[in-house]
Amino acid sequence: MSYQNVRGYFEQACYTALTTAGVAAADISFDNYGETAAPADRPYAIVALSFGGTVEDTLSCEGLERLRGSLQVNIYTPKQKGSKPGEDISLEVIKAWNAINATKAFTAPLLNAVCHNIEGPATLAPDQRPHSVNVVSCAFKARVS
Amino acid sequence: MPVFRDPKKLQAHIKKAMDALQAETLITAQSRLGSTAVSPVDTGRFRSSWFAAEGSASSAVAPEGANSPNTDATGLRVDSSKNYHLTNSLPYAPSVAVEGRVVSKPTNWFTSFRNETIPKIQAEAAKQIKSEFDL
Repeated sequence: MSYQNVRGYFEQACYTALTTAGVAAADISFDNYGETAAPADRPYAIVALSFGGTVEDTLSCEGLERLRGSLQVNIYTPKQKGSKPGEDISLEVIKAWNAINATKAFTAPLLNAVCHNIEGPATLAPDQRPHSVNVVSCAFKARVS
Repeated sequence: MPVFRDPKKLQAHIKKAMDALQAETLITAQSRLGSTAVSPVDTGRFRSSWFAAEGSASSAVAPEGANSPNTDATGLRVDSSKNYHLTNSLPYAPSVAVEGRVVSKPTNWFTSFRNETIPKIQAEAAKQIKSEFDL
């Protein structure tokens, strides 16, 4: 089972994109951590990754695994600043996912990783909270030796 | 597979199978979205508010106190040449489904449903209809 290798690969890509876009490292939560909203004047992000497809052992190839799942990044930016901050951060994440698709070289045990059905940013400002939300999501597939 | 001498009969057979495929997919997707295994539940109104409609999205919502899956898709006369929508029009639905602001499910529960469960529902429905229509 190689869930952690795959989780680490995609979460690292999201983390790098978010910090590049200006989200402080301390304000990025992953779905195995509790959500802690940043102060009203600072952006924050929640990265959620789950495995949905079952592991398929390809016995003829010495037990290669194909893992599938869904990845979602919620980006929270202060309200009253327009749509640009949230969309700029979203763009960095989407660029990172597209960069994964363009990557040919992976570090063992990961053999291949692909993001598809990339969607977003969907914009919400649903309630009295001080942040707007931009949601970007994709489905992923990864092959691990 | 049945043998057809008349192309119109073949066309009608395939059309009937495609209608059944669309109906099966729609009914199953609505049923899954209405289940507590998929939709997050607090009062149950959210899971009861997945409405099916032909042509355009429904704006209906379940009444307060509702807590059972909506089954209105079963009452539709599904035509595979038309579009069908499954929608949840509660004011907080975008926050629950798109943002994933829920406590009883992962943040990406709806993304997972759309990306992983829907293709499985479609594949299973196709398998079932192929068998039913001897295709």
